[in-house]
Amino acid sequence: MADQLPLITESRAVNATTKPISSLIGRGLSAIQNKETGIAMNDPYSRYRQAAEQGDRKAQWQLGVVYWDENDFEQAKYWLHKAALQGLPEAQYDLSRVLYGMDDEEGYGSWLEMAVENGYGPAICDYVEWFELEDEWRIELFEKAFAWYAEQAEQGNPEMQFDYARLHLEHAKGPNKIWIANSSEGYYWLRKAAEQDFPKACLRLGLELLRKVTVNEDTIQEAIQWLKQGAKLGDPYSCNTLGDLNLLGNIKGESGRIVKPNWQIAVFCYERGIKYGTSWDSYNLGRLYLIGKYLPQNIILAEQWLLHAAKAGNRSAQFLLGEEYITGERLKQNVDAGIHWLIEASQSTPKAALRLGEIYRRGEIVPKDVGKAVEWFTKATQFISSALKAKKTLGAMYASGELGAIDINISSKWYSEVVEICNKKLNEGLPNPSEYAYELAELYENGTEVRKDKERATNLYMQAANLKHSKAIKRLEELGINWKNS
Amino acid sequence: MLPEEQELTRLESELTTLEDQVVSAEETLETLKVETAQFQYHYYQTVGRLFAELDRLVAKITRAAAGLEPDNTEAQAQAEAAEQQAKKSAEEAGLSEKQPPPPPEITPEIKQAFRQAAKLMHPDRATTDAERKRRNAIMAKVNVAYEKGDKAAIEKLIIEFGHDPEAITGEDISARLVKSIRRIAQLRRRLNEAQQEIAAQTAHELYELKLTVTEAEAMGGNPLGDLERQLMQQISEKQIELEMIMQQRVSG
Repeated sequence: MADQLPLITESRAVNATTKPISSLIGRGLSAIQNKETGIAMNDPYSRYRQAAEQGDRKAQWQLGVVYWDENDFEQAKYWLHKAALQGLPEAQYDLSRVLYGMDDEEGYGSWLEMAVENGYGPAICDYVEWFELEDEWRIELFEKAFAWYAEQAEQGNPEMQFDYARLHLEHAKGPNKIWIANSSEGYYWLRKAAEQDFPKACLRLGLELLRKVTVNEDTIQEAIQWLKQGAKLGDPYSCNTLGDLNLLGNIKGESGRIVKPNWQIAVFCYERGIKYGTSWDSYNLGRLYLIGKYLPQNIILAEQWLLHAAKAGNRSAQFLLGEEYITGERLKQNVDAGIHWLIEASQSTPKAALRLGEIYRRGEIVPKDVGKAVEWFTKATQFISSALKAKKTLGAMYASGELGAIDINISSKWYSEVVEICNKKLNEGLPNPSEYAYELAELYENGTEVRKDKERATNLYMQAANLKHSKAIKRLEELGINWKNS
Repeated sequence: MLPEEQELTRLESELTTLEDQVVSAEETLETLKVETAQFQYHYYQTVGRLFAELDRLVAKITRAAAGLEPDNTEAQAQAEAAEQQAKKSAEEAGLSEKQPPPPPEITPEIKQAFRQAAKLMHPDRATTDAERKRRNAIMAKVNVAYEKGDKAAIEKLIIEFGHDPEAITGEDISARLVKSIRRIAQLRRRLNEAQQEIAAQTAHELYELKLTVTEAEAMGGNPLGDLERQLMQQISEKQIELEMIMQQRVSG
């Protein structure tokens, strides 16, 4: 097994030692001071600015791209526009994309067309994908794009080789098939790019090999080698794919076991992914440790990885931490911390706002505060996915008098919005409108905001029950209605 | 103006300056204490407990490894040392006992209230022993309230303290001269003590750590976060190592 562990070759800056060096404070201090030496700042702007100001179109393009990377769209637009006017096709294409991001559809279209006219491959691919074209014209453009990429790939640029390979693989079969694309040609260029250590190519090649119809041991080993290469080059997706492979025995979402699972190796891979990746990677590892299904549960690590992700602004991690701190079922209960993370998460997680509303309404773990509950439920009405439940709860709160006085007008306002949403959604022909059918059924059964209508209610319950809505099934059983035969 | 009066004016102005300096030094000291405590709490909650978890695993690994070689006395001694270290770290990180609540944040308003209280009721301003004792007791309460970040309590203490009988003047010049000279000597001593305490606080490792972290953060870094991540990775590795030794023990 030792040969399967090349992923941890890097030396660690912090030493765990059995010899007591000093206090925990001293250990942290020496670890941080070792790391802080040699911080070098380099300024990407100064590299291109001078040449760009003197009118060098390539430098103008590169400066524009640097600003674009920094999300400074105005500056990016300014410099890309300068280069685009000087006829640089890559600048014209990038400008079109910046303008698209700034909702300037017209500018987007005209600069994209300009880049297409100049025969710029990526622009042609975009153009073919996004605009309705006649078949003949479409194929002609494709041929042009393939020719452009082929030329670039021949010159040895791995990124271009990868893009060319992708173009072949995506159009070799399926609905996008065109005569010029060919999967062996795709593999050939993918391998070329991967051999040049292009991380995305390593990942893609590994995945393509694993997904081959007939997988034998050699193919698997080769796939793993490429994924390891991707991981070594700092590609987080390669790390995570390797992690999934070692944890589950196959790639996420695929069936069948390809390798023998080994959670230890999986953890190495995930940690490497976290190093290069985003807060999602730490969230995932934290959750794995928390659930403890595929690897031994470790609450301390679960908490710290989730905090790591939550502090980086990951809303899912914030919500999960909030829930865990509040229930205290797995992490140690800490209501203040729980509320804190739920509030953070509520900025874009509807569930969090609903949960906060419920917490203050119930007043079990915090002092009951119906004012705050109303505030949070009102906030939850602003999100599409929580609007229905929030509005219904608000309607009930104003009707029941739990806010001090009964206010039928406000209650009715919220309920009428619930009815409106439900009717609208039920008419939209959603694949699964069971939630809306159930909620509306309840209103008809109790005559809330609508005229009491037992038959309509039953029909709606049945509609929901047929879609396996558990509460609807339960209610029908309580009412003694045999819905299965209807 | 008589020479004595001139001298008294000079001394009293020196006294005012010194009083300000003493209050400033004490405020700096108290703030330093509270902020360092706050940092320490945060540090132990994050990095500290990870160090402790790491040491715990190392101890388990060393003990398990020693279990594989019962006759190797060196291995036994190493396991003993690792267990000691793990115990020490757990105690230091506060894992073995209940955590105290985090220290409060000191706002400018609280600082202001503290300054006002310290100026008004400082024990050094007493000229009799009884008065000094009274002031000592009340000043201790002010310090406790400050450390809790409780502005209302400080304000209440100020009101309780009332007007300072010592501030009433009206004695003759020579008595006031003597009083001023004594008071200046007292204040100088107090200032010296406060400055020494500040120096002791800032010489501490914890303060250096806090400073290093603050500086790195100002440069856009996240040293504690990075360290946490490194430690978490190491813990995972140790956990795996332990698991492997356990399997070895089972199969051996």
